[in-house]
Amino acid sequence: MIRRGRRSQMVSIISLVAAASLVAACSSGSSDSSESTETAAAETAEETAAETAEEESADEVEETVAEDAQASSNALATAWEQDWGALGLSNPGLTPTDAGIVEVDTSQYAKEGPYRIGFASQGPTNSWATIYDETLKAAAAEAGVTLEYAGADGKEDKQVNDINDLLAKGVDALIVTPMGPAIKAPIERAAAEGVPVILCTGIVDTDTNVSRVDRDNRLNGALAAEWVAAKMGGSGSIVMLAGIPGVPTAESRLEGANEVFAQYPDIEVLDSQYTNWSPTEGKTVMEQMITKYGDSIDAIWSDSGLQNVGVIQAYNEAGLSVPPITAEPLNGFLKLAKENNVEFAAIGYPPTHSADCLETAIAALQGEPVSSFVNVGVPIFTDAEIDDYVRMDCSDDLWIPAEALSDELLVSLNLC
Amino acid sequence: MSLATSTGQQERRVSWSTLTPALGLVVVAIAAILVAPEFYDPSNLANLSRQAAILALVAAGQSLVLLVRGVDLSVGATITLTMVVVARVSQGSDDRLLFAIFAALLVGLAIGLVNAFLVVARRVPPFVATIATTVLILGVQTAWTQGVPGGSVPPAMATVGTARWFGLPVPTIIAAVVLLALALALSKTVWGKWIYATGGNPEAARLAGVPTARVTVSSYIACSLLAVLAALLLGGYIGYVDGYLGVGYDLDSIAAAVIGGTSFAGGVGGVGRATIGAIIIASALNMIVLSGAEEWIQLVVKGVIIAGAVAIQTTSWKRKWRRKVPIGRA
Repeated sequence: MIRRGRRSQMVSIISLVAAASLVAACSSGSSDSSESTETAAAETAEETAAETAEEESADEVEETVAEDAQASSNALATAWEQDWGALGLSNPGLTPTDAGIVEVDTSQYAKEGPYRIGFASQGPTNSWATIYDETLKAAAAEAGVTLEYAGADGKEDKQVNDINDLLAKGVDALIVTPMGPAIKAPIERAAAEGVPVILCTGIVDTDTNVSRVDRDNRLNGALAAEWVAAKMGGSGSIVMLAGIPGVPTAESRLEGANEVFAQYPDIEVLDSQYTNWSPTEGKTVMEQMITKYGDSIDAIWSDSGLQNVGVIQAYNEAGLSVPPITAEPLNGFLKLAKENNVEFAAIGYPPTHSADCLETAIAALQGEPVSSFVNVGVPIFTDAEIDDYVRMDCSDDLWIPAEALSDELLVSLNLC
Repeated sequence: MSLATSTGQQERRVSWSTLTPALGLVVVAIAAILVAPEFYDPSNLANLSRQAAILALVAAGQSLVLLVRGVDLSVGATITLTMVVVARVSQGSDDRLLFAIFAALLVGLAIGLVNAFLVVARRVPPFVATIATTVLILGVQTAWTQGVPGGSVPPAMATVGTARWFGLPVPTIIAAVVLLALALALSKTVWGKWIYATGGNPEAARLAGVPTARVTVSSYIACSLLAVLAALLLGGYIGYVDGYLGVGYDLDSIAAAVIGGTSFAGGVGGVGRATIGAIIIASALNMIVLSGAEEWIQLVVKGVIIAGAVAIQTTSWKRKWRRKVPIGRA
């Protein structure tokens, strides 16, 4: 009796899961089946080839990759020297991040193409992650690489299995977007098996990976803070809106910003709160800050465009004008900023940098020396240049710039 | 007979366990004066009323399920899915808003039915059943949207979500009307009596002729529909399809219900209690943010409130239960 009962429960749950996977299978034509995506991207690549510099033979692509790898070893230092200039600022005296960059000899991984590369990603859990995955898939199709994709659903434990599955498939190289510290073990296992590992966006406490491709987020936070300080002439009251507590991207930005504000004794940080990169939380938190500080907030340091959507709404509802604010170039924020004439500085972290991860993986497989840390170049601009960036015809979820994505892909993702 | 005794039991329990939440409210109100005087600023109270009202709707739905000895962990996912449905179906246009709301309600109905089917027909424990539904919702949503919520909220919905009538936020007024109607339905109609009877003692209720299966199904459906309504108000207020919209509402709604004095054991609780619980949680969090406390303090305070409320509830419960056991065995 009991056994039968249990079995029927199991059957119910299994049929539920089966139904879910059926739905997923039916509608994932452009997400999981990388084959169709690759074909679509390949077609697009052909179309755009004529008008872009990407009209190169396979050999020429290889050359570019090698050059990029060498140039990138200085990319972090260059960014620390030059990125301030994009906002008309200069470094207020911060020590550039020491990523311990060395040139890695990859001759032991060198092999003939065509390559099969594994990509253990976060999975399409939000628009940033979706664009990130699709960019890399398109880049792989263009480079003639077979991509083995595994999305972790944002879950650390699933990713451990994903990486083991990819290794079992015998991939030539592995690109990993680490979901947490536990990814250390599978990465080290891959390295022990002689598979070069590229960490793409994120950090894990290991030195067995060949390279890490990411943006120095401490620099992003510092750039935004220095813009705020300059905007207020070095004195005034601000509030700070950070991302998710404990997440390295959010904490590094906050660290950079705090270092900058520490240099300005006349800047008072009235309050600093986390917003979980959510418009909803951003609005709730900002409403309460407005209640408490009213119009005495002279500027807002914010680490993303997401919470800013809520911030602008909170100010509108309170009948106050939005003070200068820092952001990331999220289309939804840019649209609102344009509509409300908000003064802002946008410092990017575009998901399209996933293509750089693929380039680095290919370089490693070609035996070209690669940099142990590749700092990603990002768009940096202010409200003065908004019209060059905002896409009024596209979805709020689009991350700017999106030029690396084909129009067909943007349409199929409901982004434009 | 057995129906009558279980109702009598409830009336006596009410006195002591209504007192605790009310005391909690007083404590919060006094703490606010000390911690953050801005709490009593009219604009803050208006914003707070909206936050609390939306949580109260979800918590009231959660209470209906708790009353019949269930629990619904899928309300958070339902809230997020509702906004995706509204944005996708309406495509940001007011003309299609009513159609989109209708579609969202249908989705809510379907979720409630799936939960109820698993719990009632297949006898899957509610905890497991509603987690399975949550995973199903997330799966369908990811397959449909590929992670890009897409679309935007129709302007009319954003207007309703942010408008005020007589100085009060419209979502607060709408929620108050719905909560009042629900409270009346619970206390004055046969359906309400059946819910308490089913939760208080399912076997006795069944013998007394209460259609317990249908009553349980109705409470799961009502819970999902209330989550959809909360999502519509919340989405209108935010005016943005936020993938984070429903996060936390599953646990917060349970916490609000329990803080208000709704019991996990079923049969005790109600809309008024859920509302008081929601006000306590929303006020406490609002006050902490106003005071400029750090993130960890916010989490600690929330944890302490929930743990404290549960501790108080369970101790009072045990005492009562020991005394009443002989009658309940009828």
